[in-house]
Amino acid sequence: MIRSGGLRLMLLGVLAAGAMAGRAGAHPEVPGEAAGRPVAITAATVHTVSGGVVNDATVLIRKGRIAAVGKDVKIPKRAIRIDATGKHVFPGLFAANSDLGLVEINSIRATLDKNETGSITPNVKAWVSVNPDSEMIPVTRSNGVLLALTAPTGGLLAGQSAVLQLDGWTYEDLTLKPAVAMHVGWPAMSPVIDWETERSAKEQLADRDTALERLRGAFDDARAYAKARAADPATPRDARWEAMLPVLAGEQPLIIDADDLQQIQAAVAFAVEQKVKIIIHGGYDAPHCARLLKEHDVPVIVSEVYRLPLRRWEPYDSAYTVPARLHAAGVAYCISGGGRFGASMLRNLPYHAAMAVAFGLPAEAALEAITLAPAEILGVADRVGSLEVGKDATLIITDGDPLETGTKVEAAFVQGRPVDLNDRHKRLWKKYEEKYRRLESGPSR
Amino acid sequence: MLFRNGTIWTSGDKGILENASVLVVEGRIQAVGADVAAPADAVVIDLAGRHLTPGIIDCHSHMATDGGVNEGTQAITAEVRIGDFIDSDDVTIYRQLAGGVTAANILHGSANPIGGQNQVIKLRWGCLPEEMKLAGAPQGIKFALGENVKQANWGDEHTTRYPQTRMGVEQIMRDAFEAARHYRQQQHTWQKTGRGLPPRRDLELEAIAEILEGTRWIHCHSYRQDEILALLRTLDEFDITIGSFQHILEGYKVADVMAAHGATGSAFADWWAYKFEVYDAIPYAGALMHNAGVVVSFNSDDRELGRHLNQEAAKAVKYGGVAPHEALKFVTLNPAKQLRIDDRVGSVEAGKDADLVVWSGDPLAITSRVEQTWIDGRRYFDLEEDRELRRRDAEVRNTLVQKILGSGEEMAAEGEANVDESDLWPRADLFCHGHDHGHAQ
Amino acid sequence: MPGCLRRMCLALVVCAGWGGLAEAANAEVVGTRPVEGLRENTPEVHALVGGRIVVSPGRVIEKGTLVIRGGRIAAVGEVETPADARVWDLTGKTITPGLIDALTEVDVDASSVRKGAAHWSDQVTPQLDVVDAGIRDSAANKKLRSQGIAARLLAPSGRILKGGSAVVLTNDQDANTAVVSRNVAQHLRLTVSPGRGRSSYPSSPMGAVALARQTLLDADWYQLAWQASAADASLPQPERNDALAAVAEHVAEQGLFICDASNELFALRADRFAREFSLNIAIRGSGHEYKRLEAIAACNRAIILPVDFPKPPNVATTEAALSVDLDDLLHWEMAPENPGRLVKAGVTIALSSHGLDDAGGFLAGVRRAVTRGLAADAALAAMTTTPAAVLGVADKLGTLETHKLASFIVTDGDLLAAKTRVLETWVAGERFEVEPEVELDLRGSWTVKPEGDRPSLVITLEGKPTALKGTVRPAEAGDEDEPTAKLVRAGVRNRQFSCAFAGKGLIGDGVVRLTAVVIAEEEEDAELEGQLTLGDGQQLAFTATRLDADEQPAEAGDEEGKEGEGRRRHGKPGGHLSARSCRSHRAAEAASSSALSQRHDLDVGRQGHP
Repeated sequence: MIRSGGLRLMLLGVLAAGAMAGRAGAHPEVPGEAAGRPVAITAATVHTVSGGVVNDATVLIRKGRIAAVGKDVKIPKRAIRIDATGKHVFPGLFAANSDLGLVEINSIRATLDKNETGSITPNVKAWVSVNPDSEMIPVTRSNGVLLALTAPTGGLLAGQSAVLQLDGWTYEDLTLKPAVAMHVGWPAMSPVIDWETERSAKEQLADRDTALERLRGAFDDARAYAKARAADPATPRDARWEAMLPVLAGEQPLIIDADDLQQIQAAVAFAVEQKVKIIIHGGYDAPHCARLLKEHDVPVIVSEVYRLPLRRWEPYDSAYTVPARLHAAGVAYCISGGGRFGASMLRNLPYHAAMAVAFGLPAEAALEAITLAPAEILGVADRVGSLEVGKDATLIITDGDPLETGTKVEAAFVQGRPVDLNDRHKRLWKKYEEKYRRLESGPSR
Repeated sequence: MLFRNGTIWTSGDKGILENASVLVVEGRIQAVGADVAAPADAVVIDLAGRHLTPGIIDCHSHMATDGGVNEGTQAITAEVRIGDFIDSDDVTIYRQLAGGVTAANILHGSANPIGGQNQVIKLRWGCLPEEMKLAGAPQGIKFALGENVKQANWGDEHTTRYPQTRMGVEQIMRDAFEAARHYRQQQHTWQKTGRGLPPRRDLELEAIAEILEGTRWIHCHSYRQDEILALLRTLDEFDITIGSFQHILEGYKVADVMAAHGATGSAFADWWAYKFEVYDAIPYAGALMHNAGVVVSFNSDDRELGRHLNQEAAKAVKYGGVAPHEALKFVTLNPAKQLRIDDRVGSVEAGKDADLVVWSGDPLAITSRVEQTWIDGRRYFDLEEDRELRRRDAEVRNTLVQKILGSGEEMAAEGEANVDESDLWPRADLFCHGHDHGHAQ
Repeated sequence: MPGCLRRMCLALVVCAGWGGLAEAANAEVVGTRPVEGLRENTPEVHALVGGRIVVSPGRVIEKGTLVIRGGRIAAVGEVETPADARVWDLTGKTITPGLIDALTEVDVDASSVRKGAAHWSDQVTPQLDVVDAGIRDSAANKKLRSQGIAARLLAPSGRILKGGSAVVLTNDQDANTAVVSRNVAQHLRLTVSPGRGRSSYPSSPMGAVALARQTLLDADWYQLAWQASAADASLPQPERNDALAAVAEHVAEQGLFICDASNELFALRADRFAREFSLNIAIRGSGHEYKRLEAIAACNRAIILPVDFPKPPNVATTEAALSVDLDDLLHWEMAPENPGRLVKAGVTIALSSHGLDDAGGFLAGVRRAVTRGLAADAALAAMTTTPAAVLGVADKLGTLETHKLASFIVTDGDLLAAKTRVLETWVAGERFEVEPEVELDLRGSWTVKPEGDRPSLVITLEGKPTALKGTVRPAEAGDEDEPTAKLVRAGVRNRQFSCAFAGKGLIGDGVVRLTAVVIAEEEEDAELEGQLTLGDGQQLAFTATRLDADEQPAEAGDEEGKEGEGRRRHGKPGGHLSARSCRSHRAAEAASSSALSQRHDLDVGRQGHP
């Protein structure tokens, strides 16, 4: 697993003790502790993302931030040195949409906290319900994903999301930036007839119209509330519309779930009409209206690359080529990799990006799509997304390109604190390796 | 036909051969090696250094069937047959050919302890349903253990169908085996003595009797180590060797018992946490079972995942350090062994069917694409031809749209579509995953 | 043949006809119901003279006579009109054999058979006979007759083994007389409808096939077990089971099974299932057969085809078109060609109104198929001789030959020509008018002479004989600004004409109402007699005669031009009206469409084709 001596020295002190039985309880990995001294990662191939690749370079971490990056970095005497010869340093990978910490087991309702009842729930805040001890978190960061947007879903106005960094004691520790966006589930614009749909085509169209009316109504109500509040601060509070104030003021963008062309176009028209800022999440048909998106500065969070085509007649790779087509069209985009399986599969984020490369996306763009681009789109690029002086030291050390399956993440840092890369899966692996070792060699005396 | 000069991943004893060639004659592999010569009239496909592998075999699939996937209304439905409902026009077949899949085990779902009979197919896109069936493939049947079959997640109206616990699941299987045994005895007695009423042929008991007689293999959906162990003990009592355990996500905990029985395991590479019984699923499971001597394969159980099983195989390298050539077997030779069709497919070796895939690069690399997929020496997918077909289809599409617009005929209203009845049936195992399958077509 | 000899032959024929009437269903079925009140003996002898008679597909008598006696065809061809026959002048008309709708379904309540010795599954009710549920459906029959359908196969709907069907006539008679043949076929559906829930076996198509298979095996066992049990009293008795008994019997006599196939794959499945049990089946097809034409043709099964061709998918906007599969676009294009393609591939087809929202669109559908490659004779055969043969009623229906039922259609042109109207449908000698006689055609100009010294008026009637419109003006050509009023509510009913108009400038102020009795409409004697009620309430009698023939206006859109005059009695070509709803579509460009299908050799399902 971890080969470099320096790394082991660094991390021994924080590795959790023993193998824990497979229970759905708190994960035992202890959050990292700041070293109290500068840390210098040396002799590595450093992928800054914002400024190209630097070989044989050093990354200097001081007080949780990147103090220096480059070939000739002056390393303070008291700094802890990590010799990363032959290794690579990347910014921590960033999943731009997920339900991390809100869901533990899909089929057990008691463990689900991502969908509040009611269609209009803009006031719920995802980050306060995040379980910092979810087993998903260590499993996810084991493959280099250190940042994730966690968001509520369901209904028209689902609530607000936050950018999380994947190491900390409480949700406050985990929350890098709260209230990043307001989430909107855009209604389906055309009817679907298949085994899963009970409503008839006509009913679905009526549902759509009702839903759009409700959405518009919510914005109108929120506007009226804003006006009243501005005029008289003693106006009684309405938690829902209170939460909408930053949206109406243009400070908080909407992230709108939309895959179908009609949905995307309608969402953009809505944004223009309401004078709010939006981001499209899903984006399957976005390449068909790239110009519209560009003109109105609407970025796209591509939800998952591993998808089936939405329509029977479409080319087999139509989902695989979405990032490449957006890239060619000059639309701002990133890849979030969540999709059907939610947080349990977030660790495969880099493979979504790699699949996009297989189908036309330039390799550097793919890396950017899961590091800097999400940071820019979600408004945290001042803190994370690339290896630049002044940004958080949230980064990974690997033995290769994280977009390649075989690559191992050997070390990770969140804001300069080392992350315990042990996880439930590794623990169970070790436990049963032991079982078979004993069977083979007989009981030890 | 000669596939000349490439890196051949044989999935056989010869391992990975560089700068080698494969000779195919009348749909069969005739020779594999560095010095294979082609007859003068051979069609030569120059691999130009690209990689060639055996066709991928998906040991757990629900594509290409429009029969509902599950007959879940009774605890035992051994009489139903996937083979009655092969949908040769399911576009998933083409999409998986584009991912290098050449054969698949189409299974009944996991709604009940004893489900229906499977059908192994080759992805012969364009052929008739009967032509897609792999003739001679040994018959199989779906068993299932755990949450799905005891209706754990079906809702409050479904709490009385026997069995409702894992204990009951074990009992109903024993009972079925006993009943089938008795059924056969009755038939033998009547044949010998002619006494009594002629016995009635019961298709359900017949299928189960075939299991006892070794002519039908069990493919059992299973998760928890206790239910796996209990089933193995039951099967040992009835002298049945299991065909394969499917999912088998806790199989890594009892790999020694599995190996002793001769049980094989067909698992997911890295899915977990969608149900409680998979909370202990780990991506290292494949390697652990493999190291204990169990024949392990990775399957998809999913129309989308089935399109890149080569990438799943790569996870055996990542999680547990299985050597690349061995890892590829997880999606080629090993599923063939589990289906007992490894005499015909699963590796690039002389005598086997020419089910081959040409890759743009290392088949375990995500960035590699399938360029050609061959079955029985016939090309069913080709990247170039796919481009051509897209052009053709776009043209036909546009011509027809223009014709409709120009005809003046009244068009169907929004959402009013001619729905084929078979589109209304599930195309996935609804009982399995507990997550949204989305509206992808 | 000398006349007396011919009459003798006719008499013999009639006697022979009478003798064989044991179970016949025709206008003169021998029944057992006692006569109440006076006996009704209206003669049932008809001679239809002068029409073009299509005896069977390909056999046409350009001008002949059809003689009907007792609901049966007594003679056809250049034969003498019997003296006792009621004569119908069909000059200019065409007579075609009455059509057979090869499959219609009705929902039959199965609870009665479920209470008996039933199958354990409510999906298996082969012992159900559609006749027991009552076959009379006036509304449906009227619709079918409007399409020239004189007989239909009536089958129970729903369930997997649905029950037995019967060929019934579309006269409004009950089962005693209108059933031509009973237990014609057993009906089979190798699937279930979605939504049966998780508790009711079977809830999947796979389960349905397994159940059907097991049932056929059980029927076989049932026979053997009962035989064994009957021969040896010591043996246990098998259960009684009317469903299994019904299936066993039907299979034993190689009876016809008709199996539903909602798409081309189901057609192949039906054939495969039938071969498992050596069943004699016909397939109720879907219109999708062209997708697997060769394979389906190779099955060698008769196929009952619907003509419910799809509407074009919605491609009005780019966005709407995105959701439309290429498959659906192609199906819109190919569906009307399907029947023709099947025939060219040698498949036996019979047409049916199954699937149409409105059975009144049946002929339009067939005609569309004809314009798209189905040979006219093949189409006619598919509605007459073929279903008659497949359903085993060829001795009674399908052609206009002696001894067969007098079921035929009278049209004003070739049945399969686009604008031809069905005028009458005769079912077993009973005449049903489809298009009412054009009662009167009053179009043209009339001089209206009110009593007293009021000035005459000229009323000019245009439009259609049943949808009149017109104007009225003074008879004397006066100043340039001749006042003209429009007629409102102009119409003819029961030989009475009425209308109203604004009288100003013509005959007093206010609205004038006019009613007249049509004394005669023959050109020379044409006369109307009636009352004018003026705006002030005064009533004036008037008579009206036609204006000079030369001044009659030609009607816009009247294709027959001035021939609107002349005899209007039924039997003559003249006037037309059609309140029928036709599918509105441009004449299909057969050339371009077949070029399209050639260019993209449509083997849907070949490589890469989604």
